[in-house]
Amino acid sequence: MIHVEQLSKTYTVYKRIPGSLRRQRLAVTALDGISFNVSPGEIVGYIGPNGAGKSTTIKILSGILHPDRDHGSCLVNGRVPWKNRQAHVAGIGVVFGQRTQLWWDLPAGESFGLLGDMYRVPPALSRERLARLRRELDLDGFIDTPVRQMSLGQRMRCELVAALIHNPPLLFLDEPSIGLDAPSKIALRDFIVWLNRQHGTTIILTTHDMDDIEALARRVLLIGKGRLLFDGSMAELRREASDEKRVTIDLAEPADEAALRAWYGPRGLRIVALREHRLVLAYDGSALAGTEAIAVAVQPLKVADLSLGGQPVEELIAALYARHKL
Amino acid sequence: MKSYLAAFRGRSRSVLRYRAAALAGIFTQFFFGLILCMIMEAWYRSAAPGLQAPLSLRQAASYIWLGQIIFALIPWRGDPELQDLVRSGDVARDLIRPLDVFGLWLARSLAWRLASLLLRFLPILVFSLFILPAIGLGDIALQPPAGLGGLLGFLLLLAGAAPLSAAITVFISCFQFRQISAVGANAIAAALVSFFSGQLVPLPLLGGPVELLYRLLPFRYLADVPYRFWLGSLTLADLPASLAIQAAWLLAVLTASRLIIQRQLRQLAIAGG
Repeated sequence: MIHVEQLSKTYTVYKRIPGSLRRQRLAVTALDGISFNVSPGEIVGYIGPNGAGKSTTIKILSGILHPDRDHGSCLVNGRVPWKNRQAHVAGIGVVFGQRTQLWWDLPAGESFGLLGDMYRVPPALSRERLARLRRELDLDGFIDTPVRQMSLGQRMRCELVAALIHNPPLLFLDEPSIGLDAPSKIALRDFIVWLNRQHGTTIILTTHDMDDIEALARRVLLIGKGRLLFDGSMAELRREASDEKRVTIDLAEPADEAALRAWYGPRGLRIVALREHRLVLAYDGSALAGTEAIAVAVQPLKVADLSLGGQPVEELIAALYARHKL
Repeated sequence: MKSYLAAFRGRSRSVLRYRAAALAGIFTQFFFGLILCMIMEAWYRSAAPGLQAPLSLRQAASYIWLGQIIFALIPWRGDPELQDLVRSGDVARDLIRPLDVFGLWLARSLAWRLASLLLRFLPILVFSLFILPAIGLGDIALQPPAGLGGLLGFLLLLAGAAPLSAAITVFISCFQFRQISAVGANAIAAALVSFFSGQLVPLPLLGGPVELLYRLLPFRYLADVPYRFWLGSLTLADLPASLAIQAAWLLAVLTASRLIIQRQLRQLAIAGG
Protein backbone atom coordinates (compact mmCIF):
# COMPACT_ATOMS: atom_id res chain seq x y z
CA MET A 1 0.00 0.00 0.00
CA ILE A 2 2.86 2.34 0.88
CA HIS A 3 6.31 1.87 -0.51
CA VAL A 4 8.96 4.37 0.52
CA GLU A 5 12.58 4.15 -0.43
CA GLN A 6 15.39 6.54 0.41
CA LEU A 7 13.01 9.46 0.87
CA SER A 8 14.74 12.77 1.65
CA LYS A 9 13.57 16.29 2.33
CA THR A 10 15.63 19.39 2.94
CA TYR A 11 14.19 22.72 4.05
CA THR A 12 15.84 26.06 3.62
CA VAL A 13 15.74 28.20 6.74
CA TYR A 14 17.18 31.62 7.32
CA LYS A 15 19.15 32.58 10.38
CA ARG A 16 19.49 36.20 11.33
CA ILE A 17 23.10 37.07 12.13
CA PRO A 18 22.88 38.86 15.51
CA GLY A 19 23.52 42.59 15.33
CA SER A 20 23.34 42.59 11.55
CA LEU A 21 20.61 42.89 8.96
CA ARG A 22 22.07 40.12 6.87
CA ARG A 23 20.76 36.63 7.08
CA GLN A 24 22.33 33.30 6.60
CA ARG A 25 20.87 30.58 4.45
CA LEU A 26 20.83 27.17 6.07
CA ALA A 27 19.77 23.82 4.70
CA VAL A 28 18.01 21.72 7.31
CA THR A 29 17.63 18.03 6.63
CA ALA A 30 14.20 16.90 7.79
CA LEU A 31 14.34 13.47 6.19
CA ASP A 32 17.58 11.73 5.40
CA GLY A 33 16.88 8.61 3.37
CA ILE A 34 13.86 6.92 4.95
CA SER A 35 12.70 3.52 3.69
CA PHE A 36 9.74 1.39 4.75
CA ASN A 37 6.72 -0.49 3.43
CA VAL A 38 3.19 -0.66 4.79
CA SER A 39 0.74 -3.42 3.86
CA PRO A 40 -3.04 -3.00 3.57
CA GLY A 41 -4.87 -3.27 6.90
CA GLU A 42 -1.89 -2.40 9.10
CA ILE A 43 -1.96 0.12 11.94
CA VAL A 44 1.48 1.68 12.10
CA GLY A 45 2.61 3.96 14.90
CA TYR A 46 5.09 6.54 13.72
CA ILE A 47 7.00 7.97 16.67
CA GLY A 48 9.96 10.20 17.36
CA PRO A 49 10.77 13.39 19.27
CA ASN A 50 9.64 16.84 18.13
CA GLY A 51 11.33 17.85 14.89
CA ALA A 52 12.31 14.29 14.01
CA GLY A 53 10.54 14.38 10.64
CA LYS A 54 7.24 12.67 11.44
CA SER A 55 4.98 15.38 10.10
CA THR A 56 7.21 15.92 7.10
CA THR A 57 6.84 12.24 6.20
CA ILE A 58 3.05 12.41 6.58
CA LYS A 59 2.89 15.55 4.46
CA ILE A 60 4.95 13.99 1.69
CA LEU A 61 2.92 10.78 1.76
CA SER A 62 -0.31 12.79 1.63
CA GLY A 63 0.87 14.78 -1.39
CA ILE A 64 1.19 18.15 0.37
CA LEU A 65 4.95 18.55 0.16
CA HIS A 66 7.43 17.69 -2.54
CA PRO A 67 10.49 15.73 -1.36
CA ASP A 68 13.98 16.51 -2.60
CA ARG A 69 14.33 15.86 -6.29
CA ASP A 70 16.45 13.00 -7.59
CA HIS A 71 16.18 11.23 -4.27
CA GLY A 72 14.51 7.93 -3.65
CA SER A 73 11.04 6.83 -4.57
CA CYS A 74 7.65 6.80 -2.96
CA LEU A 75 4.48 5.06 -4.03
CA VAL A 76 1.16 5.24 -2.17
CA ASN A 77 -1.72 3.21 -3.59
CA GLY A 78 0.46 2.81 -6.67
CA ARG A 79 0.78 6.57 -7.19
CA VAL A 80 3.51 9.12 -6.59
CA PRO A 81 1.65 11.42 -4.16
CA TRP A 82 3.00 14.81 -5.28
CA LYS A 83 2.92 14.04 -8.99
CA ASN A 84 -0.76 13.24 -9.28
CA ARG A 85 -1.99 14.96 -6.17
CA GLN A 86 -5.70 15.22 -6.99
CA ALA A 87 -6.13 11.54 -7.84
CA HIS A 88 -3.95 10.58 -4.89
CA VAL A 89 -5.78 12.52 -2.19
CA ALA A 90 -9.16 11.15 -3.30
CA GLY A 91 -7.96 7.82 -1.86
CA ILE A 92 -6.61 9.02 1.48
CA GLY A 93 -7.97 10.65 4.60
CA VAL A 94 -5.87 12.95 6.78
CA VAL A 95 -6.49 14.29 10.28
CA PHE A 96 -4.15 16.97 11.58
CA GLY A 97 -4.51 17.17 15.35
CA GLN A 98 -3.33 20.76 15.37
CA ARG A 99 -5.37 22.04 12.47
CA THR A 100 -9.01 21.89 11.51
CA GLN A 101 -10.36 21.02 8.10
CA LEU A 102 -13.94 21.93 8.92
CA TRP A 103 -15.55 25.27 8.13
CA TRP A 104 -14.97 27.24 11.30
CA ASP A 105 -18.25 29.15 11.16
CA LEU A 106 -20.54 26.37 9.97
CA PRO A 107 -22.15 23.53 11.91
CA ALA A 108 -20.21 20.29 11.48
CA GLY A 109 -23.19 18.66 9.75
CA GLU A 110 -23.06 21.23 6.96
CA SER A 111 -19.30 20.76 6.60
CA PHE A 112 -19.81 17.02 6.12
CA GLY A 113 -22.33 17.65 3.35
CA LEU A 114 -19.97 20.06 1.60
CA LEU A 115 -17.05 17.64 1.92
CA GLY A 116 -19.18 14.83 0.49
CA ASP A 117 -19.81 17.04 -2.55
CA MET A 118 -16.14 17.95 -2.80
CA TYR A 119 -15.18 14.30 -2.96
CA ARG A 120 -18.05 13.63 -5.37
CA VAL A 121 -19.64 11.06 -3.06
CA PRO A 122 -23.21 10.30 -4.20
CA PRO A 123 -25.56 12.03 -1.69
CA ALA A 124 -27.34 8.82 -0.66
CA LEU A 125 -24.05 7.06 0.05
CA SER A 126 -22.71 10.11 1.86
CA ARG A 127 -25.82 10.21 4.10
CA GLU A 128 -25.56 6.51 4.88
CA ARG A 129 -21.85 6.76 5.78
CA LEU A 130 -22.47 9.84 7.85
CA ALA A 131 -25.26 8.13 9.79
CA ARG A 132 -22.96 5.23 10.65
CA LEU A 133 -20.02 7.44 11.66
CA ARG A 134 -22.34 9.68 13.61
CA ARG A 135 -23.57 6.70 15.63
CA GLU A 136 -20.10 5.28 16.12
CA LEU A 137 -18.63 8.59 17.31
CA ASP A 138 -21.75 9.76 19.14
CA LEU A 139 -22.02 13.14 17.45
CA ASP A 140 -25.71 13.75 18.08
CA GLY A 141 -25.29 16.33 20.80
CA PHE A 142 -23.24 18.79 18.77
CA ILE A 143 -23.52 18.05 15.05
CA ASP A 144 -25.49 21.28 14.55
CA THR A 145 -23.09 23.45 16.58
CA PRO A 146 -20.71 25.76 14.68
CA VAL A 147 -17.22 24.26 14.80
CA ARG A 148 -15.75 27.31 16.53
CA GLN A 149 -17.98 26.67 19.55
CA MET A 150 -17.04 23.01 19.99
CA SER A 151 -14.77 21.60 22.65
CA LEU A 152 -11.55 20.04 21.38
CA GLY A 153 -12.85 16.53 22.01
CA GLN A 154 -16.02 17.20 20.05
CA ARG A 155 -14.07 18.81 17.25
CA MET A 156 -11.64 15.94 16.96
CA ARG A 157 -14.50 13.47 16.55
CA CYS A 158 -15.87 15.68 13.77
CA GLU A 159 -12.42 15.85 12.16
CA LEU A 160 -12.42 12.05 11.96
CA VAL A 161 -15.78 12.05 10.19
CA ALA A 162 -14.53 14.77 7.82
CA ALA A 163 -11.54 12.64 6.90
CA LEU A 164 -13.64 9.53 6.29
CA ILE A 165 -16.65 10.81 4.34
CA HIS A 166 -15.15 9.46 1.10
CA ASN A 167 -14.28 6.13 2.76
CA PRO A 168 -10.53 6.17 2.04
CA PRO A 169 -8.61 2.90 2.30
CA LEU A 170 -5.69 4.79 3.90
CA LEU A 171 -5.92 7.17 6.84
CA PHE A 172 -3.16 9.41 8.19
CA LEU A 173 -3.58 10.62 11.75
CA ASP A 174 -1.05 13.31 12.66
CA GLU A 175 -1.15 13.67 16.45
CA PRO A 176 -4.90 13.14 16.70
CA SER A 177 -4.88 12.83 20.49
CA ILE A 178 -3.01 16.06 21.21
CA GLY A 179 -4.71 17.95 24.02
CA LEU A 180 -7.54 15.45 24.45
CA ASP A 181 -8.84 14.39 27.88
CA ALA A 182 -8.77 10.74 28.96
CA PRO A 183 -12.33 9.76 27.90
CA SER A 184 -11.86 11.39 24.50
CA LYS A 185 -8.55 9.61 24.00
CA ILE A 186 -10.12 6.29 24.81
CA ALA A 187 -13.08 6.98 22.50
CA LEU A 188 -10.61 7.89 19.76
CA ARG A 189 -8.66 4.68 20.23
CA ASP A 190 -11.80 2.55 20.23
CA PHE A 191 -12.90 4.21 17.03
CA ILE A 192 -9.57 3.63 15.31
CA VAL A 193 -9.66 -0.05 16.22
CA TRP A 194 -13.28 -0.30 15.00
CA LEU A 195 -12.41 1.40 11.72
CA ASN A 196 -9.45 -0.87 11.12
CA ARG A 197 -11.44 -4.04 11.89
CA GLN A 198 -14.68 -3.06 10.22
CA HIS A 199 -13.33 -1.46 7.05
CA GLY A 200 -9.79 -2.81 6.89
CA THR A 201 -8.57 0.79 6.76
CA THR A 202 -4.78 1.12 6.81
CA ILE A 203 -3.80 3.64 9.45
CA ILE A 204 -0.60 5.60 9.93
CA LEU A 205 -0.57 7.31 13.30
CA THR A 206 1.91 9.82 14.69
CA THR A 207 1.68 10.68 18.36
CA HIS A 208 3.65 11.51 21.45
CA ASP A 209 1.20 9.57 23.59
CA MET A 210 2.82 6.19 24.05
CA ASP A 211 -0.39 4.74 25.45
CA ASP A 212 -1.93 5.42 22.01
CA ILE A 213 0.86 3.46 20.42
CA GLU A 214 0.61 0.61 22.88
CA ALA A 215 -3.17 0.39 22.51
CA LEU A 216 -3.23 0.62 18.73
CA ALA A 217 -0.06 -0.08 16.85
CA ARG A 218 1.03 -3.60 16.11
CA ARG A 219 4.00 -2.05 14.39
CA VAL A 220 6.13 0.91 15.37
CA LEU A 221 8.44 3.05 13.27
CA LEU A 222 10.86 5.17 15.28
CA ILE A 223 12.40 8.14 13.53
CA GLY A 224 15.02 10.55 14.80
CA LYS A 225 16.94 13.33 13.06
CA GLY A 226 15.42 12.30 9.75
CA ARG A 227 16.55 8.68 9.96
CA LEU A 228 14.57 5.53 10.61
CA LEU A 229 15.95 3.98 13.80
CA PHE A 230 13.58 1.12 14.41
CA ASP A 231 10.90 -0.80 12.53
CA GLY A 232 9.13 -3.61 14.37
CA SER A 233 6.53 -4.59 16.95
CA MET A 234 6.07 -2.91 20.31
CA ALA A 235 7.37 -6.06 22.03
CA GLU A 236 10.53 -5.94 19.94
CA LEU A 237 10.92 -2.26 20.70
CA ARG A 238 10.74 -3.08 24.41
CA ARG A 239 13.38 -5.75 24.04
CA GLU A 240 15.50 -3.36 21.99
CA ALA A 241 15.26 -0.71 24.67
CA SER A 242 15.67 -2.82 27.79
CA ASP A 243 14.32 -5.92 29.38
CA GLU A 244 13.52 -4.17 32.57
CA LYS A 245 10.43 -5.36 34.45
CA ARG A 246 8.64 -3.79 37.37
CA VAL A 247 7.02 -5.06 40.56
CA THR A 248 4.73 -2.52 42.20
CA ILE A 249 3.73 -3.28 45.78
CA ASP A 250 1.25 -1.58 48.13
CA LEU A 251 2.55 -2.06 51.66
CA ALA A 252 0.37 -2.97 54.62
CA GLU A 253 3.07 -1.71 56.99
CA PRO A 254 5.83 0.87 56.44
CA ALA A 255 9.26 -0.56 55.64
CA ASP A 256 12.80 0.63 56.24
CA GLU A 257 14.55 1.61 53.02
CA ALA A 258 18.11 0.78 54.07
CA ALA A 259 17.11 -2.69 55.23
CA LEU A 260 15.22 -3.34 52.00
CA ARG A 261 18.15 -2.15 49.92
CA ALA A 262 20.42 -4.59 51.72
CA TRP A 263 17.97 -7.42 51.11
CA TYR A 264 17.15 -6.77 47.44
CA GLY A 265 20.59 -5.65 46.22
CA PRO A 266 22.35 -9.03 46.12
CA ARG A 267 19.19 -10.73 44.79
CA GLY A 268 18.90 -8.75 41.52
CA LEU A 269 16.15 -6.29 42.49
CA ARG A 270 16.51 -2.52 42.58
CA ILE A 271 14.34 0.00 44.42
CA VAL A 272 12.96 2.52 41.93
CA ALA A 273 10.72 4.33 44.40
CA LEU A 274 9.58 4.00 48.00
CA ARG A 275 6.90 6.47 49.03
CA GLU A 276 4.61 6.00 52.03
CA HIS A 277 2.87 2.72 51.30
CA ARG A 278 4.06 2.18 47.76
CA LEU A 279 7.22 0.38 46.69
CA VAL A 280 8.36 0.04 43.08
CA LEU A 281 11.05 -2.51 42.27
CA ALA A 282 12.85 -3.12 38.98
CA TYR A 283 14.62 -6.25 37.76
CA ASP A 284 16.18 -7.62 34.59
CA GLY A 285 13.56 -9.78 32.88
CA SER A 286 16.17 -11.86 31.07
CA ALA A 287 17.92 -12.81 34.33
CA LEU A 288 14.97 -13.37 36.65
CA ALA A 289 11.59 -15.03 36.06
CA GLY A 290 8.48 -13.20 37.26
CA THR A 291 7.64 -15.75 39.96
CA GLU A 292 11.18 -15.66 41.35
CA ALA A 293 11.15 -11.89 41.44
CA ILE A 294 7.85 -11.84 43.31
CA ALA A 295 9.07 -14.42 45.81
CA VAL A 296 12.16 -12.35 46.58
CA ALA A 297 10.22 -9.09 46.61
CA VAL A 298 7.52 -10.02 49.09
CA GLN A 299 9.70 -11.86 51.59
CA PRO A 300 10.69 -8.87 53.81
CA LEU A 301 7.32 -7.14 53.50
CA LYS A 302 3.70 -7.14 54.63
CA VAL A 303 1.96 -6.87 51.26
CA ALA A 304 -1.48 -5.33 50.71
CA ASP A 305 -1.46 -5.48 46.92
CA LEU A 306 0.98 -6.36 44.17
CA SER A 307 1.26 -5.98 40.40
CA LEU A 308 3.80 -7.02 37.82
CA GLY A 309 4.55 -5.16 34.60
CA GLY A 310 7.04 -3.81 32.11
CA GLN A 311 8.84 -0.52 32.20
CA PRO A 312 6.34 2.30 31.54
CA VAL A 313 6.36 3.09 27.86
CA GLU A 314 7.11 6.78 28.38
CA GLU A 315 10.31 5.92 30.26
CA LEU A 316 11.22 3.32 27.71
CA ILE A 317 10.92 5.77 24.86
CA ALA A 318 12.78 8.46 26.77
CA ALA A 319 15.61 5.97 27.38
CA LEU A 320 15.58 5.03 23.72
CA TYR A 321 15.74 8.69 22.60
CA ALA A 322 18.61 9.24 25.03
CA ARG A 323 20.46 6.21 23.69
CA HIS A 324 20.19 7.48 20.12
CA LYS A 325 21.09 11.00 21.34
CA LEU A 326 17.89 12.51 19.90
CA MET B 1 -17.73 21.52 -10.90
CA LYS B 2 -19.77 20.15 -8.02
CA SER B 3 -16.59 20.09 -5.93
CA TYR B 4 -15.79 23.73 -6.58
CA LEU B 5 -19.41 24.65 -5.99
CA ALA B 6 -19.14 23.04 -2.55
CA ALA B 7 -16.18 25.30 -1.77
CA PHE B 8 -18.20 28.27 -3.02
CA ARG B 9 -21.19 27.34 -0.85
CA GLY B 10 -19.06 26.77 2.24
CA ARG B 11 -17.47 30.19 2.01
CA SER B 12 -20.58 32.14 1.11
CA ARG B 13 -22.52 30.57 3.99
CA SER B 14 -19.70 31.48 6.36
CA VAL B 15 -19.72 35.09 5.14
CA LEU B 16 -23.49 35.34 5.45
CA ARG B 17 -23.15 34.49 9.14
CA TYR B 18 -21.32 37.73 9.86
CA ARG B 19 -24.22 40.14 9.59
CA ALA B 20 -22.93 42.64 12.12
CA ALA B 21 -19.74 43.05 10.08
CA ALA B 22 -21.87 43.68 7.01
CA LEU B 23 -23.92 46.27 8.87
CA ALA B 24 -20.74 48.07 9.92
CA GLY B 25 -19.59 47.98 6.29
CA ILE B 26 -22.85 49.49 5.12
CA PHE B 27 -22.48 52.41 7.51
CA THR B 28 -18.92 52.99 6.31
CA GLN B 29 -20.18 53.12 2.75
CA PHE B 30 -22.96 55.60 3.63
CA PHE B 31 -20.39 57.79 5.29
CA PHE B 32 -17.82 57.62 2.48
CA GLY B 33 -20.47 58.11 -0.18
CA LEU B 34 -21.74 61.27 1.50
CA ILE B 35 -18.25 62.69 2.12
CA LEU B 36 -17.12 62.05 -1.47
CA CYS B 37 -20.34 63.63 -2.80
CA MET B 38 -19.79 66.71 -0.65
CA ILE B 39 -16.22 67.02 -1.95
CA MET B 40 -17.57 66.77 -5.50
CA GLU B 41 -20.15 69.41 -4.78
CA ALA B 42 -17.49 71.74 -3.40
CA TRP B 43 -15.31 71.18 -6.48
CA TYR B 44 -18.10 71.84 -8.89
CA ARG B 45 -19.29 74.96 -7.08
CA SER B 46 -15.78 76.43 -6.96
CA ALA B 47 -14.97 75.65 -10.61
CA ALA B 48 -14.51 78.56 -13.01
CA PRO B 49 -17.85 79.52 -14.56
CA GLY B 50 -18.35 78.10 -18.03
CA LEU B 51 -15.87 75.26 -17.51
CA GLN B 52 -17.15 72.14 -19.29
CA ALA B 53 -16.57 69.19 -16.94
CA PRO B 54 -16.56 65.67 -18.49
CA LEU B 55 -19.28 64.72 -16.00
CA SER B 56 -22.10 66.79 -14.54
CA LEU B 57 -22.32 66.99 -10.76
CA ARG B 58 -25.28 64.63 -10.82
CA GLN B 59 -23.31 62.15 -12.93
CA ALA B 60 -20.29 62.41 -10.64
CA ALA B 61 -22.49 61.78 -7.59
CA SER B 62 -24.09 58.79 -9.31
CA TYR B 63 -20.63 57.43 -10.14
CA ILE B 64 -19.67 57.72 -6.48
CA TRP B 65 -22.81 56.01 -5.24
CA LEU B 66 -22.38 53.15 -7.70
CA GLY B 67 -18.91 52.75 -6.23
CA GLN B 68 -20.34 52.48 -2.73
CA ILE B 69 -23.04 50.02 -3.82
CA ILE B 70 -20.61 47.53 -5.33
CA PHE B 71 -17.78 48.33 -2.91
CA ALA B 72 -17.63 44.73 -1.64
CA LEU B 73 -16.83 43.53 -5.15
CA ILE B 74 -13.68 45.66 -5.49
CA PRO B 75 -10.53 43.57 -4.84
CA TRP B 76 -8.69 46.22 -2.86
CA ARG B 77 -6.96 43.57 -0.73
CA GLY B 78 -6.15 39.86 -0.82
CA ASP B 79 -8.49 37.28 0.66
CA PRO B 80 -7.77 37.30 4.42
CA GLU B 81 -8.81 33.66 4.66
CA LEU B 82 -6.32 32.60 1.98
CA GLN B 83 -3.58 34.75 3.43
CA ASP B 84 -4.18 33.34 6.88
CA LEU B 85 -4.17 29.85 5.43
CA VAL B 86 -0.70 30.32 4.00
CA ARG B 87 0.62 32.07 7.09
CA SER B 88 -0.55 29.41 9.53
CA GLY B 89 0.21 26.43 7.33
CA ASP B 90 -3.46 25.45 7.18
CA VAL B 91 -2.96 25.49 3.42
CA ALA B 92 -2.18 21.82 4.06
CA ARG B 93 -5.89 21.11 4.37
CA ASP B 94 -6.56 22.59 0.92
CA LEU B 95 -3.89 20.35 -0.54
CA ILE B 96 -5.58 17.19 0.70
CA ARG B 97 -8.71 17.97 -1.30
CA PRO B 98 -9.10 16.30 -4.69
CA LEU B 99 -9.36 19.72 -6.33
CA ASP B 100 -7.12 22.07 -8.21
CA VAL B 101 -5.85 24.51 -5.56
CA PHE B 102 -6.17 27.51 -7.83
CA GLY B 103 -9.76 26.59 -8.74
CA LEU B 104 -10.56 26.05 -5.08
CA TRP B 105 -9.19 29.46 -4.12
CA LEU B 106 -10.93 31.18 -6.99
CA ALA B 107 -14.25 29.64 -5.98
CA ARG B 108 -13.71 30.73 -2.40
CA SER B 109 -12.71 34.28 -3.26
CA LEU B 110 -15.65 34.60 -5.61
CA ALA B 111 -17.96 33.38 -2.84
CA TRP B 112 -16.46 35.88 -0.43
CA ARG B 113 -16.90 38.81 -2.81
CA LEU B 114 -20.39 37.88 -3.95
CA ALA B 115 -21.75 37.04 -0.50
CA SER B 116 -20.39 40.32 0.88
CA LEU B 117 -21.96 42.17 -2.06
CA LEU B 118 -25.29 40.46 -1.50
CA LEU B 119 -25.32 41.49 2.16
CA ARG B 120 -24.49 45.13 1.48
CA PHE B 121 -25.67 46.48 -1.85
CA LEU B 122 -29.40 46.87 -1.27
CA PRO B 123 -29.49 49.37 1.64
CA ILE B 124 -27.05 51.73 -0.13
CA LEU B 125 -28.93 51.41 -3.42
CA VAL B 126 -32.24 52.29 -1.75
CA PHE B 127 -30.64 55.13 0.22
CA SER B 128 -28.92 56.78 -2.73
CA LEU B 129 -31.61 56.21 -5.34
CA PHE B 130 -34.78 56.92 -3.35
CA ILE B 131 -34.11 58.42 0.05
CA LEU B 132 -31.64 61.16 -0.93
CA PRO B 133 -34.02 62.72 -3.53
CA ALA B 134 -36.91 62.40 -1.09
CA ILE B 135 -35.09 64.49 1.53
CA GLY B 136 -34.19 67.20 -0.96
CA LEU B 137 -30.63 66.11 -1.76
CA GLY B 138 -31.41 65.21 -5.37
CA ASP B 139 -28.19 66.90 -6.55
CA ILE B 140 -26.00 64.28 -4.90
CA ALA B 141 -28.34 61.31 -5.34
CA LEU B 142 -27.91 58.31 -7.63
CA GLN B 143 -29.61 58.98 -10.97
CA PRO B 144 -31.50 56.09 -12.59
CA PRO B 145 -29.57 54.26 -15.34
CA ALA B 146 -29.42 55.71 -18.85
CA GLY B 147 -32.23 53.62 -20.27
CA LEU B 148 -32.55 49.87 -20.50
CA GLY B 149 -29.42 49.66 -22.64
CA GLY B 150 -27.40 51.41 -19.94
CA LEU B 151 -28.73 49.06 -17.28
CA LEU B 152 -28.03 46.02 -19.45
CA GLY B 153 -24.47 47.13 -20.15
CA PHE B 154 -23.92 47.86 -16.46
CA LEU B 155 -25.23 44.46 -15.36
CA LEU B 156 -23.29 42.48 -17.98
CA LEU B 157 -20.03 44.26 -17.19
CA LEU B 158 -20.71 43.74 -13.48
CA ALA B 159 -21.24 40.04 -14.10
CA GLY B 160 -17.79 39.94 -15.71
CA ALA B 161 -16.33 42.09 -12.94
CA ALA B 162 -17.14 39.42 -10.33
CA PRO B 163 -14.78 36.71 -11.67
CA LEU B 164 -12.20 39.37 -12.56
CA SER B 165 -12.35 40.61 -8.98
CA ALA B 166 -11.98 37.06 -7.61
CA ALA B 167 -9.00 36.46 -9.91
CA ILE B 168 -7.29 39.67 -8.79
CA THR B 169 -8.04 38.77 -5.16
CA VAL B 170 -6.27 35.43 -5.60
CA PHE B 171 -3.42 37.16 -7.43
CA ILE B 172 -2.86 39.55 -4.50
CA SER B 173 -3.17 36.68 -2.03
CA CYS B 174 -0.37 34.82 -3.83
CA PHE B 175 2.16 37.31 -2.52
CA GLN B 176 1.57 35.81 0.90
CA PHE B 177 3.68 32.83 -0.15
CA ARG B 178 6.79 34.91 -0.60
CA GLN B 179 6.34 37.42 2.17
CA ILE B 180 4.62 35.53 5.00
CA SER B 181 3.09 38.87 6.00
CA ALA B 182 0.48 40.20 3.61
CA VAL B 183 0.52 43.77 4.90
CA GLY B 184 2.73 45.05 2.08
CA ALA B 185 0.85 43.42 -0.78
CA ASN B 186 -2.46 44.52 0.68
CA ALA B 187 -1.35 48.12 1.13
CA ILE B 188 -0.08 48.40 -2.45
CA ALA B 189 -3.20 46.73 -3.78
CA ALA B 190 -5.44 49.04 -1.76
CA ALA B 191 -3.84 52.12 -3.31
CA LEU B 192 -3.55 50.81 -6.87
CA VAL B 193 -6.92 49.12 -7.15
CA SER B 194 -8.99 51.78 -5.37
CA PHE B 195 -7.57 54.56 -7.47
CA PHE B 196 -7.33 52.96 -10.90
CA SER B 197 -10.72 51.30 -10.70
CA GLY B 198 -12.35 54.68 -10.11
CA GLN B 199 -13.42 54.09 -6.53
CA LEU B 200 -11.65 57.19 -5.16
CA VAL B 201 -12.08 59.82 -7.88
CA PRO B 202 -14.35 59.30 -10.90
CA LEU B 203 -11.92 58.40 -13.68
CA PRO B 204 -13.68 60.48 -16.38
CA LEU B 205 -12.59 63.57 -14.44
CA LEU B 206 -8.91 62.68 -14.87
CA GLY B 207 -6.94 63.30 -18.04
CA GLY B 208 -3.35 63.34 -19.30
CA PRO B 209 -0.87 60.65 -18.22
CA VAL B 210 -3.26 59.37 -15.54
CA GLU B 211 -5.81 58.60 -18.22
CA LEU B 212 -3.21 56.73 -20.25
CA LEU B 213 -2.28 54.74 -17.14
CA TYR B 214 -5.79 53.77 -16.11
CA ARG B 215 -6.57 52.71 -19.66
CA LEU B 216 -3.55 50.38 -19.59
CA LEU B 217 -4.58 48.67 -16.34
CA PRO B 218 -7.31 46.06 -15.80
CA PHE B 219 -8.88 47.70 -12.77
CA ARG B 220 -11.29 50.04 -14.56
CA TYR B 221 -13.15 46.99 -15.88
CA LEU B 222 -14.21 46.32 -12.30
CA ALA B 223 -15.92 49.65 -11.74
CA ASP B 224 -15.35 52.56 -14.10
CA VAL B 225 -16.49 50.82 -17.28
CA PRO B 226 -19.74 49.40 -15.83
CA TYR B 227 -20.49 52.82 -14.28
CA ARG B 228 -20.07 54.52 -17.65
CA PHE B 229 -22.76 52.26 -19.06
CA TRP B 230 -25.08 53.21 -16.21
CA LEU B 231 -24.38 56.92 -16.81
CA GLY B 232 -24.84 56.60 -20.55
CA SER B 233 -21.35 57.76 -21.58
CA LEU B 234 -20.84 54.26 -22.99
CA THR B 235 -23.68 52.77 -25.02
CA LEU B 236 -24.73 49.38 -26.34
CA ALA B 237 -22.46 49.94 -29.35
CA ASP B 238 -19.46 49.88 -26.97
CA LEU B 239 -20.66 46.75 -25.20
CA PRO B 240 -19.00 43.99 -27.31
CA ALA B 241 -15.58 45.67 -27.20
CA SER B 242 -15.82 46.33 -23.44
CA LEU B 243 -16.83 42.76 -22.69
CA ALA B 244 -14.06 41.40 -24.91
CA ILE B 245 -11.34 43.47 -23.22
CA GLN B 246 -12.71 42.56 -19.79
CA ALA B 247 -12.64 38.86 -20.74
CA ALA B 248 -9.07 39.18 -22.02
CA TRP B 249 -7.97 40.74 -18.72
CA LEU B 250 -9.77 37.99 -16.83
CA LEU B 251 -7.91 35.36 -18.81
CA ALA B 252 -4.58 37.11 -18.29
CA VAL B 253 -4.97 37.45 -14.52
CA LEU B 254 -6.24 33.87 -14.18
CA THR B 255 -3.26 32.50 -16.09
CA ALA B 256 -0.75 34.57 -14.16
CA SER B 257 -2.04 33.69 -10.71
CA ARG B 258 -2.41 30.03 -11.62
CA LEU B 259 1.21 29.88 -12.70
CA ILE B 260 2.38 31.66 -9.56
CA ILE B 261 0.43 29.32 -7.29
CA GLN B 262 1.73 26.20 -8.99
CA ARG B 263 5.27 27.47 -8.70
CA GLN B 264 4.88 28.37 -5.03
CA LEU B 265 3.25 25.10 -4.06
CA ARG B 266 6.23 23.19 -5.36
CA GLN B 267 8.48 25.09 -2.95
CA LEU B 268 6.05 24.97 -0.08
CA ALA B 269 7.27 24.30 3.43
CA ILE B 270 4.93 23.76 6.35
CA ALA B 271 6.49 23.85 9.79
CA GLY B 272 5.31 22.36 13.06
CA GLY B 273 2.65 19.69 13.35
